[in-house]
Amino acid sequence: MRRHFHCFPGRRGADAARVSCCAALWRTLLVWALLLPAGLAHAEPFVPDRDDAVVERLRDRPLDQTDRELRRLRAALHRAPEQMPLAIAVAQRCIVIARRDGDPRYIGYAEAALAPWWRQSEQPAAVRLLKAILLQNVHQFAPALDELGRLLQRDPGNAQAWLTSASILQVQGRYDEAGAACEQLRAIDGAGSYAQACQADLEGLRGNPDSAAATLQRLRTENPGLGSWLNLMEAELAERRGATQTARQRFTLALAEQSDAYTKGAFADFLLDEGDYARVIELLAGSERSDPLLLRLALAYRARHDARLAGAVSDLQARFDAARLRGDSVHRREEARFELKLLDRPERALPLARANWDVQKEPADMRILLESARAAGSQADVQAVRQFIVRNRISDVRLAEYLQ
Amino acid sequence: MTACDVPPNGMSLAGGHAILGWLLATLLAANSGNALAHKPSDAYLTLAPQGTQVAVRWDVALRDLDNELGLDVDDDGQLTWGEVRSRRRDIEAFVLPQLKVGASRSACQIVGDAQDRPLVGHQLDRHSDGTYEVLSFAFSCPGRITALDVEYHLFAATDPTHRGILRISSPAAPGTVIATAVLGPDSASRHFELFGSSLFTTLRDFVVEGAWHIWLGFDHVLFLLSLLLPAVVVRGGVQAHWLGATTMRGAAVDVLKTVTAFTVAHSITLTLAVLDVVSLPSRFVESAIAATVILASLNNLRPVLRDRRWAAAFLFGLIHGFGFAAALKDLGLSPQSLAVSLFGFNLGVELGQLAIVAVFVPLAFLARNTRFYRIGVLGAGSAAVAMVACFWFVERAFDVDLSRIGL
Repeated sequence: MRRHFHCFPGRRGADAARVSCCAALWRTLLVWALLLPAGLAHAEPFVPDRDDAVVERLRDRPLDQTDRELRRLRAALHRAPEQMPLAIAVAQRCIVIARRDGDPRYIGYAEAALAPWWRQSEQPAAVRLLKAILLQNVHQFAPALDELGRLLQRDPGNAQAWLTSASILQVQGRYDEAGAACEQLRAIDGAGSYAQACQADLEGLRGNPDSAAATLQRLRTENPGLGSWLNLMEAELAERRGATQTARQRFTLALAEQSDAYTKGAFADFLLDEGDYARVIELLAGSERSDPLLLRLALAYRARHDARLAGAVSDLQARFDAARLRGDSVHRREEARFELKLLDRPERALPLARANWDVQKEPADMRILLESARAAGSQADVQAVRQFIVRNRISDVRLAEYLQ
Repeated sequence: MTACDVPPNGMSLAGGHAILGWLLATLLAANSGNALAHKPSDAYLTLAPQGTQVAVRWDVALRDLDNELGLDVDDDGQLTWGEVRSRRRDIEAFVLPQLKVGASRSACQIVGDAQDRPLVGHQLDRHSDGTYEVLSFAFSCPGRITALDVEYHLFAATDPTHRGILRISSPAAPGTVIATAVLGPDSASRHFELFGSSLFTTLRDFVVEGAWHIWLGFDHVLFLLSLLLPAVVVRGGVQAHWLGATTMRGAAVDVLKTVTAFTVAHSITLTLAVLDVVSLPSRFVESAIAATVILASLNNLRPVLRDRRWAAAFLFGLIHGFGFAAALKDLGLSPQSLAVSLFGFNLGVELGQLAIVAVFVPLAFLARNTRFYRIGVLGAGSAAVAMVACFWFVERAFDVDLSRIGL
């Protein structure tokens, strides 16, 4: 159904149409009211009048050991940029920090550390692996798989490369190939638990959630060291199974061990579904610099009629605009959600969700496309995702309502 | 504890996969599809070319400058204005060399003070992802800017994912963005034609330039007026005095002949000179143009040519054409749009000329029978024009500045 803004559609059936139509007009006005500050926000440059005025907060958290190590290593690398072990150590820590804080600048710093070898055709295995992981992080899935393929041809015992491949293939919805990559881990000495977790994660997604949950629970007792990793896997599996008590408990455990941007975002999504908006606001306070977390905060603000909604929406709009200027397209899932859930513009959300679906096929990608398609009245898109879900036996209670 | 410290219990880290331990905590499949949370590093660069200068506004994130230069001296995770301000020379020394601007194939220099230190304004601005240092300065280029070459290397060595978001504003209408680009390690150098890439905008721009040239170039206007002043009068009577022409028609035919002859002549030499078929030294051309103004105005005081002023308009018009050609070449011509530029500029010159004629001729015709016109305008006016042109001639031919020696 296309939305029109004639508030007086004619004599026939006028009342109902007028009500929904005026609601539409009202929503449009609301969108403008929300977006207007974004246009005005860009004030003139200024000069602070006091030297002790704080003009920028550089860190969201105090320096920790990884940060200090990275500083030391970067300083050493600066003096000897051709030292490969040093460059690899810097790149590894940068990747850890990039993921922990969700800060893409560290992906750039890692690439810079590897610059002397970045464009070589015959790269050392360790450099190629890091390059693949960096490409994966900026959603260059095909080039990342290409690098991993070359690496594994020479070094089939590289467990990390198999695990990364499985991860990318699963995101792309290539489940059989992902399963084959998990299987390769079994033969590698010491990677057995990872192989099992890798398979369990796939099985949990595809029709065997109960046995997968049992496997993960067993692995957790056998390998306490893998706690935060398995906690998160279990939490997400429980969420898909509709076991909300377990999910909440596992998320809380995962967060206690590793409060990174991903874990926070996943937990926030769970809480939003549960309607626990107050907890979302509490959880994400101070994380406003992160776009996906600010999006979740704004969704909670909206549900609770919080006055901070307008500021959050205009900030998000400005950041999506900035990403577009730069030519980035990695935020399409978030932007579709922004358009659909915060601005009530399904006609804008749908193309974004579709473009995102062409690249990645996680349950969250299925869900945003289904929601946008239903709101925009596109039965064809709903049908396409539904077929994918049925064909691949995806089991997720949050998608169930779209399968009837 | 952070991810890289987690000892993966039960895992052997021996062998060729020692990396396995440090990444696992976040290696879940579910993670891959998630975009990194923050905005990546961008800087916003605005170039506003005008005349021979390019005004620059460059917004660079304080976060990036801190990573590069360590601005947070007390390491408390917060930057104060004092910490930023005290390092502004270091910021300039690091940032400014990362941008190179050239105009029409030659390099431009950053405008400096008396000690040749770059003149840079430092302010702050808030963007959606934090506070940015706003650097304002200007480049000075060797000639009028018609095209820009931009080379950008900011943070290329430390963060290859950094991008410079470039906007270029129109020299004709400042504030109107005519080009945008994303600059990064794989696209560090870009070339921009400022005067429209479409034939229509090129034509329009050059028509405007041509019209401006005739209005601002007093020598051309005075030459034309000198030839037109006598068009509304005839030499008659026993003492050969000037008399008002009897009909508008007679005056109009005279004007038409003169203007057409001037137009045809300067179009010929303009074309030949722009195509480099004929070339004359500019000092000679400029002096000769001054000489044509002297001769045209003297002819009004003591007529030699009488009814054949159109012939003078043609002959001298040939010289003026070389002057137009020099002005057109200064605007910068690309081989692709040469024909359009030439046609547009010439059209602009004719339109500018027609506008002058359209205003002058009716007024002169109305005033033709007055003593004011015959003595004040035709006589004294021509004498004044001749004197002004004499100054020009001396200045141009002998390369001196007469205004400096009290003249």
